[in-house]
Amino acid sequence: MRLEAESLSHSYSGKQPLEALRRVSLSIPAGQFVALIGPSGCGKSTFLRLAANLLPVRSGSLLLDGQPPRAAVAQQRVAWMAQSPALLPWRTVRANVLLAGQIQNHGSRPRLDAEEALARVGLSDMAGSYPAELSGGMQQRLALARTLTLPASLWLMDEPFAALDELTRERLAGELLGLWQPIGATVLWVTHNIHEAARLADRALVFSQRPGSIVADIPIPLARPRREADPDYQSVVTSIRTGLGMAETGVSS
Amino acid sequence: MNGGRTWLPVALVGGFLAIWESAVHLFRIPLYLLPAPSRVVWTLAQNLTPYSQATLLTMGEALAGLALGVLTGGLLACLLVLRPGAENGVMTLAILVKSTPLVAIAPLLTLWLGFGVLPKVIITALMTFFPVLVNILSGLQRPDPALVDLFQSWNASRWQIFTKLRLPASLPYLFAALKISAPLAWIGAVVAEWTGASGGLGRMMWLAYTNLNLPYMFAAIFILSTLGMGFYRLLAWLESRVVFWQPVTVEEERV
Repeated sequence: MRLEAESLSHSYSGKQPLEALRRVSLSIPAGQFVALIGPSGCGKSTFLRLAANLLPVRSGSLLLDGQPPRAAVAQQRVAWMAQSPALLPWRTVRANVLLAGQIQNHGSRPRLDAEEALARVGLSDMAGSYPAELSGGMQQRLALARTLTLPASLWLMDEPFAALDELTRERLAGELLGLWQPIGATVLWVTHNIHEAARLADRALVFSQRPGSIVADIPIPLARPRREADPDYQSVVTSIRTGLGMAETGVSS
Repeated sequence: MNGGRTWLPVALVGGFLAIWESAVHLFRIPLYLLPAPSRVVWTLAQNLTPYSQATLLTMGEALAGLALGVLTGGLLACLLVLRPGAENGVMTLAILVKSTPLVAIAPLLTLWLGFGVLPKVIITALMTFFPVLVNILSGLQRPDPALVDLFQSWNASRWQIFTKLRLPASLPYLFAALKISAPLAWIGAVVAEWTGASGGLGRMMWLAYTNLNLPYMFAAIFILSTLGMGFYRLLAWLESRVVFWQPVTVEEERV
């Protein structure tokens, strides 16, 4: 799915209105894996919520394959995954994976059926267990399996593995890449981890501090899997770090 | 089940009864002031038939009233969540009902509806419905925001979010409400019987009270407290079965 934003701004109303995004314009071609990186509270999650139709677009425009987010969500073309695995504790692992299909009424259209999705994330043996019996990493795998059943062509991922330990996070990210590549969905991946962005993405968008705008657009034309020792990888890390430095100074100036 | 945890309450209740028993004998407390536990149990054994009939009646009233209260409170909570906007008005009315002393309404209801079962059921329902309404409402209104986001990203309808998310998420709150309301149901039924009834434990207590027949009265109290505790235990057990995903709270462990 192609994503185009034009002068997209967003403010949270309240006693003290908070400007979260200011005039963000960008274009993301279909199938690109894009990391949104920036300091905390820079509006990257707001951007994602706007794309998922969890927030209304009030200023500027945001189009997903030429449609407003509401229409894309109604057509079940968008998948959402956040830091919390968001599992229903009263449903078994299998029933949690099936839930999305029951809500969206996929019928014959699921990308993967529940058993296959669970097999892909290595949870087949746990299908009859309850989420409370799973470790944090397994819970996120389960959330990933649920995402894999959706017929979506845009994956919006808001720091999905941020609550996990470093090792589990790296392993899951690797698994995610393997699962994503044959599907080729467009991915917007929010992170504040430079290496995560450099390892996973085709492109890194660096957000400034609040109100968020894009201060650097860094292409990452490296083949996967990427090695940290590779000098090209190191130069990508350096550019992202420089971009983040600009994000910091952009506010202090 | 921890052995120490079952042993301790039995020992405490036993110790309390022993102290009571010996105090009555030691200080020669007259029967019309405080009967010894043994005398109460003996009275109970001697009048097993009238007591079981009265217990069944009161229990029926309490359970029917509780069911009515839970149903009304639960349905009202669902309605308020599905049709937001009416909450202020309905809650004001509910608080009004809750703040009116039911002891004052009970004789009125008896006057209007007679000495039968109906006024008791209504009083019990009035007493139990408020905690149910408030608890279930907060349960329905507060599912995990991350789950609400997820459902919305799937374009779930309001009804789907209600049945698949809000309703099951409110079950722990339902049990919390039941654990508050169940003891109230006993109080409601007995108080209503005190104000005029043709049978039931409250009626027996009232008759015993007017005759200063304290062993008779205490026998009814024994039944009520035993039943109340048993019912609470049953609820706690049911809760651990139905809401199995909920970690056991400190409050439950103490029971």
